[in-house]
Amino acid sequence: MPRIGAFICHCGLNITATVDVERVAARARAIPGVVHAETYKYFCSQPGQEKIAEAIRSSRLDGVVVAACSPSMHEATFREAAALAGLNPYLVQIANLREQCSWVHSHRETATVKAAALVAAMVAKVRRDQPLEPIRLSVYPRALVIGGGVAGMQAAWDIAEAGHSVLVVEREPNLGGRMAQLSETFPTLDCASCILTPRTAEVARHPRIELLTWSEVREVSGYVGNFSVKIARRPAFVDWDRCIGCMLCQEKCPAPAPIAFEHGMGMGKAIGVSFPQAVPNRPVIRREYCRRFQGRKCQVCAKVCPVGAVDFEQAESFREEKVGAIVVATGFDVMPAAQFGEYGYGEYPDVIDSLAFERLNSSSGPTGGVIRRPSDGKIPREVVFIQCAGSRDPDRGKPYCSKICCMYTAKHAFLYRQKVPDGQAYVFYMDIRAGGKGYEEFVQRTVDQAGAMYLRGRVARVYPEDGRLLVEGVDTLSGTTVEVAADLVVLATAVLPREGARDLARTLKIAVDEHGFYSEAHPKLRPVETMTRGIFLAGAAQAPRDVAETVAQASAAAAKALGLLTRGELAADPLVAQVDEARCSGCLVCRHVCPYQAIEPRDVAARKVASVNPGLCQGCGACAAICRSGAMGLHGFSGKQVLAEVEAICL
Amino acid sequence: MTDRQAALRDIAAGLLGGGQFATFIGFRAGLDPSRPVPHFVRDASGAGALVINPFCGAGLARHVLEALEDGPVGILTRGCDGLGLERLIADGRVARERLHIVAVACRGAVDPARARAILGRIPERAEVDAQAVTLIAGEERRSVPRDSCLLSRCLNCVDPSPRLADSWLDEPLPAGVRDFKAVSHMEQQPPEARYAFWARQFRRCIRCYACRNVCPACSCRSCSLDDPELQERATSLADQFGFQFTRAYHVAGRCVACGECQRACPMSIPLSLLNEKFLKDIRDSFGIADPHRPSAVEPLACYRPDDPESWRGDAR
Repeated sequence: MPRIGAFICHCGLNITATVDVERVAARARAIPGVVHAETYKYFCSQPGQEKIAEAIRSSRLDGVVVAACSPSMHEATFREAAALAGLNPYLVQIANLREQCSWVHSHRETATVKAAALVAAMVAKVRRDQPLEPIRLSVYPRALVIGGGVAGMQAAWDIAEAGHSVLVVEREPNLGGRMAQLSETFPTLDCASCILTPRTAEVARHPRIELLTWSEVREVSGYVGNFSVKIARRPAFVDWDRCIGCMLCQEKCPAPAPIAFEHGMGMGKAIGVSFPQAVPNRPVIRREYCRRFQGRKCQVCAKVCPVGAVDFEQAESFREEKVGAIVVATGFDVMPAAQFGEYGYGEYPDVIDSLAFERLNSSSGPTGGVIRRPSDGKIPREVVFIQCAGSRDPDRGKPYCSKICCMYTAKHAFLYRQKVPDGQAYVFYMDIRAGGKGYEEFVQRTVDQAGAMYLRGRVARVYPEDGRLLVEGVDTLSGTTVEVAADLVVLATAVLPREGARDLARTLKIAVDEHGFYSEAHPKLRPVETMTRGIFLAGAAQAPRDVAETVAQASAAAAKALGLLTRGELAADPLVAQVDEARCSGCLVCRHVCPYQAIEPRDVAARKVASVNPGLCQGCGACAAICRSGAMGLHGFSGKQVLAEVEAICL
Repeated sequence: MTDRQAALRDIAAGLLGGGQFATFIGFRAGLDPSRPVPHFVRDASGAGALVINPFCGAGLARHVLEALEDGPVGILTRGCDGLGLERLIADGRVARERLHIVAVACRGAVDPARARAILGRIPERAEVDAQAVTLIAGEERRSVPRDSCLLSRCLNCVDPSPRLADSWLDEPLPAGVRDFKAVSHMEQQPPEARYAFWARQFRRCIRCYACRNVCPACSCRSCSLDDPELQERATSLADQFGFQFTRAYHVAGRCVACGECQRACPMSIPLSLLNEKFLKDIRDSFGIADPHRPSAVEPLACYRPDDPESWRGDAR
């Protein structure tokens, strides 16, 4: 006969307000095999845990049911408490009386009956539980950081400084990401490249950081501690080992090329780097603009290169790397022009987005930091900034707030006034969201010192007239229609996940939200972890966020990755699938339904059977559900346990 | 007819005489001319016992599992047998290279009981074509419509010839498209009528397991219907529903619509109707035109992050 203890928690008033816990305990005592049942105000508290431990010892319990809150809250707590008292932790089951009963019911009598049934079900389950031992997995002591922007660099730097090696994979030819495109940063107005460049250099020369730029992660297999990553490096058509970074090629190249870095505001060359401080300081040839690749004679770059580094035959190359943890820091894009017909974005050259304005403002940008409008190069006397272009617009854009636009628009208006002292900035806004250290004060400075005129309302349309742009809007505070003749219109376009983020999520087998941002495991308690163990998130790839938050989150992700890497070995939950090989027919339908590629065929006595890799298995149970013969089982959730639970509830 | 039979005996004798094949599966004469039975030929001299005629009704595919234990197998294969073999191969139960498939085009098999009722005596021969069935006994020849005396599984057949073949006894006939008329008709009925219908059918089940034993999709080494902890005894109608639903769900998405379960059922429970309902739903939900033919991608047995889950909005 089993010896089971049932512990019914009041959870303060959370459970007792709706459930008569004493009656539930009395009902539990009546179940054959239950030798101990008690109630307590908070079993999760230290005295509560001691009560459980004491009962395990004195009543020699071989199974424990804690009737309390959701197992996602305190299952680990109670398992640990049981283990300390000498009981195998997997002989502890949680009956969820809070989320699944007291919180969702109001009728005390029926809620009590239901609570008793939930306890009975868990008693039936725990009777059929097997003691389990955690699975030991080795951890390969190296991290992969995907993305070489400020988030990726911070995470890589922190991990490397803590003593572990890091591989950084960046899609662009150089490190820096979005932050490298910015002019100044709010609210302190530090020059973005002045604070970013030293960090970039530190990362690049760190002995434990390896950089792979112009590269992409193509395939990821394995599991926490043991990922295997296939990385593709695009052809640069320049031998970077031979190249000395003199950039004579860029200087002499006759083919102009629009480069993504300038965001439509300036041209680069078909060969070269995106910006002068680029790290690594090595050029790439952009095939689609190169004369040689367009079938013409040219090869100027090859002729001027003093070391013969240009190699038109270079092909895509691949490498396989082993890593123990992955930080995903792929950053953001902004909403493309096609979305904003009424603002004439994409139609009129002087309607630009904020990222383009950053380039106009940047001292290393195409205008040398002088704000000139794209159409004729004139210095704009009146500039209209339109916030929430595509954000907070559930009908045509995105329902979410892009978070950074209020602040960078204030920064733009401020910097504009500094550079054009007789200029006037107008800001159309919905609300000003300036929560952050020094943020609200900065917006006030923009209004008070830079004289920016804030107009609360939406812009109806923008159209050209006499070489200027007429902006028609409504000031909802005064209730009047506003018309501003502007030289330049700047849209604070919505922040989107980076192009390709969904594909990468699929490769990594991590989840994305409805907008394509990577999903965290828990919005409050596990904000930098994903549901896939060993993969962490940093920066705007998870949600719109500014530089300061991004860096903080990147350090958090690094800390989580380090938590893995420093241990060398980790324990995994043994609640994984297991095959009864004698029953398995080898149809491998389990393999097809497994979301984690955890199942492979295995030869056993001249036939094939399914075999589960416990490191990859996440215990979802899809395989156990699809297996017709019941050969696939899930530890802790066997078919017989589940049937016994159902029967206990029904009887 | 006799040409095909002679060719079949030659091929079987050749395969068995070559020493590489241990068994040839076909039919031999049974108790009366209208009831030939499945037969394992073990050596070349036994090939003369093989027959082939419109009374050959049973499915042969499942028998390869037993025969393969002794070595490679040659097998007479109609469209339905071929799909059954494809199923067994897809399930990893049978290796294609251990089979020699002797393909024959089939226009339908005669139900001996119905034929005898029509003729008033045991038919000796039958001729089946696309329009009618001719039953022959002595001097008497009677031409009757196909649906009056073919096996029900043959009336809905759209696969007269197998898709896999190593040798052919005749020219293959083209495949058709299933119309799911009977299922559509059933779907029109109100829920109470459908429940009453199935309650009437399932109440008759005697748990003989013939439906499972002949099914090419039910080839698990260990069947959960045999597990006393997973499958209740037949003590109530609910148990019968449980049994029938378990069987139907376990072949859902894998059924090749050979109709062998229904043919084998001694209580004439229309099991094909259940199987066809699944097939029709797969066709409609996943846009697969021929869901009964095994393919590399089986919609009920795969994981796709972008699974449309259209059933969520489908209240039917």
